[in-house]
Amino acid sequence: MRSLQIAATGMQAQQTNIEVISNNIANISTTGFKRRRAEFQDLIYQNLRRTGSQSADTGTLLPSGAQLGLGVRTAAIYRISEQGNLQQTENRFDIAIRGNGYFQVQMPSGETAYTRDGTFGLSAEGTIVTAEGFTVQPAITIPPAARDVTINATGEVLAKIDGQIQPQNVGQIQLAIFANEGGLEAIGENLFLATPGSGDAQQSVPGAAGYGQVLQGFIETSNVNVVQEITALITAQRAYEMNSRVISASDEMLSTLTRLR
Amino acid sequence: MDSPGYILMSRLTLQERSTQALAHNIANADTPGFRAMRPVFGQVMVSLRGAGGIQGDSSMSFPQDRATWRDMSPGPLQTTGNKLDVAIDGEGFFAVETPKGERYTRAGRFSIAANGRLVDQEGNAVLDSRGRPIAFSAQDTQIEITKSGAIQSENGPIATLQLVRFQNPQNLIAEGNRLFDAKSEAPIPVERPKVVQGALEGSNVSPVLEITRLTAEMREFQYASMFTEREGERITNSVERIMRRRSS
Repeated sequence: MRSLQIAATGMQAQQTNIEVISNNIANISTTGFKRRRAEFQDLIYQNLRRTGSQSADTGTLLPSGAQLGLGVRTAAIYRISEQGNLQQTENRFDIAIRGNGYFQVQMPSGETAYTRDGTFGLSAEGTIVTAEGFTVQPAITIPPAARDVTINATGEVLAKIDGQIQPQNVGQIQLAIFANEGGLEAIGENLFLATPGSGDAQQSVPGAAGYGQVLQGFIETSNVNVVQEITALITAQRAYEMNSRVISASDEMLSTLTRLR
Repeated sequence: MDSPGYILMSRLTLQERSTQALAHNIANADTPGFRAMRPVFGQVMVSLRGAGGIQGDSSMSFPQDRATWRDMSPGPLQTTGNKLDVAIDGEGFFAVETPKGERYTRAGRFSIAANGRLVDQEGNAVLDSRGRPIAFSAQDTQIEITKSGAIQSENGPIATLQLVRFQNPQNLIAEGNRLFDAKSEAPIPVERPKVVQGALEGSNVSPVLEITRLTAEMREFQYASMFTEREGERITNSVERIMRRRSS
């Protein structure tokens, strides 16, 4: 009864699916979170009769063969990089990205991580840092005398300093984009690392061709859609049930066989 | 004497095959581009007594597992919002280059490898209409795929996706990983390809159909095994009766 094992692969796949969905729902109010989707592919096949094999000496070929599949496996869990909603916070250092791109963050290890979570603040030195205190690259320091800070759509940070009429440009935020965003490796804390699959980061200022714009006083919410997730959850649960139906049916067939006298 | 028993045995064996194919379909109800498989049973005629005998009841037939048949009807399109997800609307397959040679797939979940090539989930290069891998430069960030399969970016056109069809798609051999091997079948380019960017083709397995079949199959199995049991009893009874007459 191979159908028992096949249905078991199906149940395992749906289990993974539900795990991914539950992670999405758990992160529904995580800033900058991108929802994930589990994806499946068919396992190997057994060829009982190959197509095109000869069925007689005269050269007659089998028009179609007999192939039996052996189930399913998880192919990938990929991120859907759709834009999340923007939520107004009125916080001066909350910055949302509208469109493509990631903020660059200097990790304590020296590596550069990437994030779409723009809930920034200031360090003791006046440098713009993330909620974890990692410096946002390129480092921008706000003078202590600054009364107000404006960040425009192209990422220019303008500090209004007492006694000066013109606001002082203290730096410009840069965004990084990737050929394949899906290839970024999530390391938790809303951070991503570049991988060979994502390609190298390309930096430019916000608003350049192919790059998104930044918006001060807003954060990007997660792009998890509750309706979609619940629908996916129901589908996954039903699929799980169907696979278990196959197991109980196969079991019943086996027990019918063992009861044979 | 025991032909009915053997006929039933072949029936029970096939039933197991059939359930296996069904389990595979249900397990892959969520696999993009998956095509449902169905077993095809044929009959093997076996002549019983002399062919010149009374016509009509002189032969019996065994069922035989002849082939598997692939349901080629399209699956539902699911929008994913991913720029590199491509679904085929209508007939056709994407061509990918694997270490074993060219393979074909309906699952258009592509991504870009580090060397800029458009690849499938297993890292096999997706081929363009001239049979070459499709490569993006580092400057291509806005990738658009038109309805006819032409890929372009902000830096101009890049390539056109290769879409092929087959005279007899039943001859394709499924390899797993959502790939098909064409073997002797020659790929023919699709004249008017139609693809949808940002969508994936789901599996064409219909759960209602599969579960109904499963129930039917289970009952048929029970029916056949009950028949086997009765047949066994009948033989036992006849043997007993013969023995009794002998001894009396």
